[in-house]
Amino acid sequence: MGNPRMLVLDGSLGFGIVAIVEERDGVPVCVAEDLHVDQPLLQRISSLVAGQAARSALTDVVVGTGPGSYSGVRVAASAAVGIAAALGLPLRESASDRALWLAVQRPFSIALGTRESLEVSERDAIIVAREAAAPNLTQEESKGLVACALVRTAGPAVEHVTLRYPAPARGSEVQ
Amino acid sequence: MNVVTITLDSLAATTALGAAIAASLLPGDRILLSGDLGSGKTTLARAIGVALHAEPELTSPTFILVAEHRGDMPIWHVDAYRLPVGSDALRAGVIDERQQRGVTLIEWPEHLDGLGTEGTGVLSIHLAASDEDGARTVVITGARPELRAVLDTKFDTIEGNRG
Repeated sequence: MGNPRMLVLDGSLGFGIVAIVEERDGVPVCVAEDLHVDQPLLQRISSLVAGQAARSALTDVVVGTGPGSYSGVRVAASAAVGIAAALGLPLRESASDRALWLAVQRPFSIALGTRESLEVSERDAIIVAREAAAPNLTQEESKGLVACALVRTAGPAVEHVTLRYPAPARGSEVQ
Repeated sequence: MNVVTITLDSLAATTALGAAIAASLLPGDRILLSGDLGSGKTTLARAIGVALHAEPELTSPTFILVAEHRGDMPIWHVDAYRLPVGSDALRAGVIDERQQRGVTLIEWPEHLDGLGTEGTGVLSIHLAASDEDGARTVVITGARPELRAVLDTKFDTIEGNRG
């Protein structure tokens, strides 16, 4: 029996995280990540998991449930639900902001709108005016780290995805 | 606060105002269109869309809440009429980080909480039917200097809110 091998999807940052993570002796290792963020999500997934053998090797689908980009979170969740159902794989959720914090260990922001950002700290995630927000988390910074963190914080298999976005009221903590 | 009032007495005038506004827009701008039912919000939104070469052309998005259009820049057309007053704009999904790349027109913004209604890049437009037959009084707040100059040239502007 091989190591658990997970397709990891997260859209909270706006640019989608699409990666394959393998657990080796309980430690998540990012073995492949598609960085073509300008391409359609399904195309990126298809090129990362090309062919029957690659699909057969997957054991789970892990999806970030936000908060973050309104459309990004929903697109990633929709893709994850569809792929898990089509391949008969367990689907696991991961809180995007907690995983992202675990990955970079610094306060950062995610753009929510033209004037609104989600500022993520060790303690919580709150909506703030964009001009007052911490620097955004970049794709370069997220590379390799976020996918592994999403696996580390993923829960057990679920029947339905529960999104953590819509955002909480301004100034309140993400529950 | 930069506030100016103009009167639109024809569809051609509305079209001209839409063109003037469209020419002043930058990516990330929001236009808040308020006014009673039938005051001409969607007509003005459509005029802005025409000037931006919107594809497909703007129509009322009341039932779908948000419509996305291609054009000289991406256009998001929001109608919050069906949302309860006090709805969180982010929670309702009418605000999206992709809107940094284009312009967002929001009808019935008074139904939404969390919209920045002031500051650079926010143009508030209140429309009202005036006493004159078919005419509309338009109060514009937050026009950039370039737009204000065009308004002063092409329309009979009155300083302040005379709506």
